[in-house]
Amino acid sequence: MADLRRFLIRRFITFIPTLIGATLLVYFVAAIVPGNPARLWAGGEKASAEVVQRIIEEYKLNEPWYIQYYYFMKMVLTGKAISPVTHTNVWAEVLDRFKTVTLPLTLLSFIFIIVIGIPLGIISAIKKDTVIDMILRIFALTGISMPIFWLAYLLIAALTGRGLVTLAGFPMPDYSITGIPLIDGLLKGDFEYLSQLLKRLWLPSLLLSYAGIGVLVRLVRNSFLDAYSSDFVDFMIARGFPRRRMYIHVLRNALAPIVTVLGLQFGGLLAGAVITETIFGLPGMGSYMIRAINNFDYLSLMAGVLYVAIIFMIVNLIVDILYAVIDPRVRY
Amino acid sequence: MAEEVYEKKVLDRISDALIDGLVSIIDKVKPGWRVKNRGRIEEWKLMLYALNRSPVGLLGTSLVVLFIILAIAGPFIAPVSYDTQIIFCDRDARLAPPRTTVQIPDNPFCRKLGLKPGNFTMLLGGDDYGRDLWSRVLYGARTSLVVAIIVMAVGPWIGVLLGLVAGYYGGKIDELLMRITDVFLVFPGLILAIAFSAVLPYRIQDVLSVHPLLADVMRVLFAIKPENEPQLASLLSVIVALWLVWWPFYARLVRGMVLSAKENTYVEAAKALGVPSWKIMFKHILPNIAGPIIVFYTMDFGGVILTEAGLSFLGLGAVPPLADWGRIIYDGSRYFPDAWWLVFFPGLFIFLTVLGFNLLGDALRDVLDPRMRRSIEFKIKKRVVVEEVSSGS
Repeated sequence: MADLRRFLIRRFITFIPTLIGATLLVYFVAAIVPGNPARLWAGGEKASAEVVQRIIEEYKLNEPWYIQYYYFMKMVLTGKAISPVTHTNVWAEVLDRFKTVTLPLTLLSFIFIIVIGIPLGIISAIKKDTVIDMILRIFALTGISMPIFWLAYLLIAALTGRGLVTLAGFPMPDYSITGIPLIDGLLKGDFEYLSQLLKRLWLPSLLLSYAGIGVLVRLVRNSFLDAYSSDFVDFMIARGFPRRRMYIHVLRNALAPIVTVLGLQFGGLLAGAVITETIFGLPGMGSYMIRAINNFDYLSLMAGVLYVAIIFMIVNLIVDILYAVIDPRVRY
Repeated sequence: MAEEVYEKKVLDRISDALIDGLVSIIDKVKPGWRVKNRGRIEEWKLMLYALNRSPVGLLGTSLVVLFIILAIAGPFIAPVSYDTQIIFCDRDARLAPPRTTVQIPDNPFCRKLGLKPGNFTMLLGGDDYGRDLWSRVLYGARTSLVVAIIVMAVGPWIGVLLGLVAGYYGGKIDELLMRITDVFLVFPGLILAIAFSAVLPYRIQDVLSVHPLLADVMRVLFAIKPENEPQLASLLSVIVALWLVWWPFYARLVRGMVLSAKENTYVEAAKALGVPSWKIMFKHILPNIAGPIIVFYTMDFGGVILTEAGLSFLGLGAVPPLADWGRIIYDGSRYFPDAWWLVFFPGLFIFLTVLGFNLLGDALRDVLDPRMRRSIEFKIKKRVVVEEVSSGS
């Protein structure tokens, strides 16, 4: 266990430069914008000089870049950053959007990826070189080739008439326990609300997970086949083990790369939902960052990226810890 | 007298001709190459034979070839240009003159042909401006191909280079390069690409105005009209944005492979002989780890096309009136269930193109596997009895 603690501390130390790098990158991307951001924020060419001056002073826009960056980061990290465009607290809005929309959307897609991707991959591996395998492999390839904005429109057209999908406003419960609608609904046993939420979210999250399912089916197939060619399988066959128990052992051995990729995909889902959120009109993190980019609102963008990066790193950390659970041979 | 000969089908003969043509070109440039590399040429032919025997690979290859033909020939075979609005007067459809924006003549019998489903004038239908969707899809194919080629010609190679350097030298350089890669990897690529392509057009506009030749070359490549040159900048910004997000994956991949490849004895031997480091990296290590890179490289052509379509669907990149598959869907989605063709056909083209590259990449994984090649060789080599004309010996 002491090993694990040392490992975690080491990982946390490497987090910090990566986070600084990521936010610096955003800062520089935003800073390429020519002209004066203060003027943009104040409302374009017609803005009065006085307002522009006030914004410049408030956001320290005439300081050198490192002071500006430091100041921005300080504002974001202490939770005091007020977006110059929307005049709301940046951190509060990021948290709010994450809790209400992005978290349920991501979790649901993640569940879809696991529940659909892993079994299909195993079937594909077990039925290697048969028609079923071929169909599943092509299905997996369609997953990574599908422009989801196209499929989304086709499915919306096909399903809305039947009452299976709704594009109405995002449902919110009229009570609050933890502030996370999904968990609140579960705690209170409010199934009417949960079914509303599900009806709003199942199609976007299924579409969001489609590419991930494609990746996972291919990966599970390959790593299952790799594990299947180990010596212990020969022994089990010789010993006359039942097939099903053998597959469980093989799967356990094949799990390490699968968990890695699942971790990466969770991070990807978090903010990769930009297109899905745009089509379905969901007020999540993705659409928030798009709006920030379009408004050159780099304070909001930095907060959003920081948030995504932190979650991404935490997920990767969990993956690293899970390695030891899956495979007791792993030492830190 | 028996001899072993390959049993060849039509496709194999075509592949033979292709390889022989390529070899004779190389032979002209480098005399003696053919004799020296006889084994390699044989392997290349075997790879194509293996590809010809995989249904998935054939499907992928034909989709890709079809896309490339459409993209190259598209602007020439398109019935009208991408921004021509078709006017309907009386009972005969008349194509608008080549200059773009069309004044609708002050004539009660004339009207724009807008939002029409497929018919004889407009094969796949028309959009809200009365432009021919089929022509726009053809021009869009050109846009996709050019973007994919330019992105893939630079982006992944940055990653390969950094990965080679990081993996080969190790130590501090490795640590530094991988930290930088991490910074790019914690971003979801799409967000970063969006951010870059939103802010870059201004800078690229400056570059284009300084180098008019570059603008001209790009204009010809994208097959767009001179008056649309101001719209080039935002299209190019997507290319630059994708360069910047497409390398980290390759850096990771290549570094990992170099770490294990550099332990091989051939690297040690090359070092002992005093071969310079860059030569070991590019001439000894890189060819030995090329297999997986080629597979991902092929699939990423599809990935770039898909991402570019996604970006233009979000309103970045190609701006009207330029034709781009993602943009056509974005503009058409406003009329969606009624004018379904505006969404359906461009999306179908994106899907089939990307699927083609992915199928091809998937098949290449098998083709590039030497064991697979041996088994193909074994399968199609047939012993045939060659009747020898007996010479009087």
